[in-house]
Amino acid sequence: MSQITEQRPGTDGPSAGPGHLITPQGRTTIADPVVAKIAGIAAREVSGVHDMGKGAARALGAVKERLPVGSSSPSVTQGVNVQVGEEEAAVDVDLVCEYGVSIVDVAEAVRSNVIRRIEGMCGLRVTEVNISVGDVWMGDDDSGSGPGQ
Amino acid sequence: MAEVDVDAVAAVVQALPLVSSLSGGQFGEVATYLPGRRVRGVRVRDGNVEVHVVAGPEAPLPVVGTTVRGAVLPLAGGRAVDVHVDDIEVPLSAGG
Repeated sequence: MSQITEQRPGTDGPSAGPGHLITPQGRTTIADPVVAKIAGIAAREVSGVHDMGKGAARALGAVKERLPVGSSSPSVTQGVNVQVGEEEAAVDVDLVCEYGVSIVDVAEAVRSNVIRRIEGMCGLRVTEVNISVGDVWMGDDDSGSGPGQ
Repeated sequence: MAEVDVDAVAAVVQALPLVSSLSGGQFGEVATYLPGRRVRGVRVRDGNVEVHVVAGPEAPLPVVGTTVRGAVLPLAGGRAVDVHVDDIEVPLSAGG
């Protein structure tokens, strides 16, 4: 199991700025699950990302998907951890990449897409996106499902 | 400070296109407790009114905050309006 963790200190990308969130007339608070969902969707959008989450979470997710009760779709927040402050957010992402892609390039693409989405949608400054690649997907060795995107 | 009509607050917030619904918070405890019923997602304190919402898909959240605050301020009787985005609706294309 290979692991790549990179840090991205500070950002200079386009940002709505936190000024909109705290005003004299009251503040806007964004809850953790909101940021986690946005980060999860943003990471999955990137080509080369097959799945998200560590082994145990993915196994559990696959079991839950087959259960007749509850929501059958996998959670978009699987493999995402966030720490959200008043003006800043930090994100940890666990990825499974497709075999054959440049993992460094995919990780960088995930990082910039996550930052762009969170800063654009939440107005929070993203201080870091830590990406951990926990596995590589080798193709349809155990199931008939096609590759990610 | 003036009384706040929580039903009116809930109605104007619910009517905003950027807002999917009012949110009761993680445990459904955020509400105004009235005789016989409760108004979900609105809480009035001495100095502020708290509004908890679920944002619609693709809604820029600072805009959600400003819009909700702008709609509620006239009803808040001089209080500040704190907007909490508790959850966000996931666009259908993204699954779950």
